[in-house]
Amino acid sequence: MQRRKFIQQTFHALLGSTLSTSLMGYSLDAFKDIIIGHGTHQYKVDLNWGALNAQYYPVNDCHEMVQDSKGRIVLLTNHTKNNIIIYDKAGRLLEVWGTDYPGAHGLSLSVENGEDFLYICDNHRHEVIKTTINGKVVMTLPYPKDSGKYEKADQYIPTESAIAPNGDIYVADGYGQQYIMHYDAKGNLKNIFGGRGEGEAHFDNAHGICIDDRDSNNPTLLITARQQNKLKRFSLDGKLLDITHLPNAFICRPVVHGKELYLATLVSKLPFNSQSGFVCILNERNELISVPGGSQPIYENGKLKALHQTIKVFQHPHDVCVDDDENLYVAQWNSGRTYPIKLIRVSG
Amino acid sequence: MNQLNKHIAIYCSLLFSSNLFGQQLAQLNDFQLAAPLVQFESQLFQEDLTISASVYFPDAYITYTIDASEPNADSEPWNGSLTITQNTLLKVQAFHPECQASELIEIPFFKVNAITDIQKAKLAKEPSPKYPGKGAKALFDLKKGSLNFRESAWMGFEGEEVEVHLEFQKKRSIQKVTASVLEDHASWIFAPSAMIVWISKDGKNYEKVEEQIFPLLKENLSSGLKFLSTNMDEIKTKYLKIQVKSIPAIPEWHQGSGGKGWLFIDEILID
Repeated sequence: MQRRKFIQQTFHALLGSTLSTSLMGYSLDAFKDIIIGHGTHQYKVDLNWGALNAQYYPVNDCHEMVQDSKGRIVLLTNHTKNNIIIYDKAGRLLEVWGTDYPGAHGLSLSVENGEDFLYICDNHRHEVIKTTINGKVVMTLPYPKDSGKYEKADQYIPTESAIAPNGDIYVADGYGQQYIMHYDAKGNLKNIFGGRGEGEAHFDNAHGICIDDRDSNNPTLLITARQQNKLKRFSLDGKLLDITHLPNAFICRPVVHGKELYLATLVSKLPFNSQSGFVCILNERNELISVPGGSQPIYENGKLKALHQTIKVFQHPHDVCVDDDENLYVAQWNSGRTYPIKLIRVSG
Repeated sequence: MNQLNKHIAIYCSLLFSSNLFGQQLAQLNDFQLAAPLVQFESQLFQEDLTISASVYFPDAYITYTIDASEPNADSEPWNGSLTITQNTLLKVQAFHPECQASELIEIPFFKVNAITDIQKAKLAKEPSPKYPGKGAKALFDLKKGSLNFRESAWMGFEGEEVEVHLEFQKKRSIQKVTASVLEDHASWIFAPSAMIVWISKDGKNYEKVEEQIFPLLKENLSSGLKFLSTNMDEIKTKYLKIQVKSIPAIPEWHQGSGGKGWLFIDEILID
């Protein structure tokens, strides 16, 4: 890295020199770390985090990431040489596994009796697969034939799952018929809601789902309707409760961390066709407070102004993982097979 | 602060900015600004048009030109909004002291007269049911589509020509016909190869008055809005037929080589 060499040289030069302050001022200006985001949630950018030798550990799309109970960062990619890549927080490779998930898309962590499990939504297999953290398959949820909503597996293209505190499993069919499946912990279908259609209780690209337990007495579901640029809150039994509109933003999956909600945003509607994208961060009232890589949140008469990319840090962010240091990892779709980008929180 | 302390402070900031706990952090000059967001009612306007442009990255600013020259960091700075009253080719770009300049955005704006004397407008062949638009009359409503071909302002024709028959309230003078079309090669949408204008005394028997062939297509990865005009000697007619010809086959440099291309049209302007 040329730039790094230059900085090191500058550093060495400074160590033994009596450079004038104006010259030092110049070198500081020219190599200023980029900071993205707004207010309390601003970040420096590490583009090299997790970069591996693509000959041995290749990725296609980096679809989703979670942090496991040991603090490790688990990445899901649709490359069948290593569907799961596990890193430490510094981006060092720890482990890879998984060759059977050609349509690996959704990754959720569930801690059950102290043990970590992963739920993988596979677009190509039309299934949701539960595995141990080491990759041993413990349950497979096929297409929900019994629901009566599906004639064949092809119509079911699950994109995301979420596990409720009682072990119930929710699956969003975001690339298929737009239903939300509600199973018990053993995989028996209890309820089905949503689906394509007119009206706010329906979806267009129900891409991501999570349990919002920020109000611990009253957990609810948050589901993205990506094509509609909306985040929809449902009760655990499938009743629409409220809607948050993020105009222009194609939000992928909601991720709860602390009091905030994080959403990787694939692209914005305007400018059209741009290879854009950014991250949205909402507070506990689901008000937008920071947009790393995008335009600042501006509310006019209670309405949020349309969002768009401002600096080309990201190309199609598909998921964001928040670690226990409040740093972010951004996995990207169709970005030229790049590894995730790490964002390091700075005090705002 | 004495000189030594100052040096130490700078060392520390360099150390931490470039190499925080072994991380190599990206710097401003690693990145390009995203293009400014330019917003306006329509590229076609009648009296005047106000255009706004914004860029939200700290220390970024926009400059612009309207004299066909390329803007640079020292060009006229953009100040909130711009109102135009005549045909304008706007070029805007965003700059930053450290980041790379955004891509250049070029948008033509046309001052047009509303066509109020069309009695009948008819398409010889309907567009593809996938992209039906809003009927023949909508080609003359001055409501332009954007780069998004799925918008209802656009009519899409697969491998077919667009043929519009117009009947005016009475004989009128015509000097120029302009087709507003979309070019989006990645979506198999191509600009037309020719435009032919016919006139008629009775709406049945037509006489060709102008044929304009457009240059061969070059490969183009980005998409764009195009205005293709035919200038002719002034004609007077009550009946007009306009044919906008699709390319005969997709050019060989395209992955769909030899197949049918799409033609997307949203407006026809008559002066």
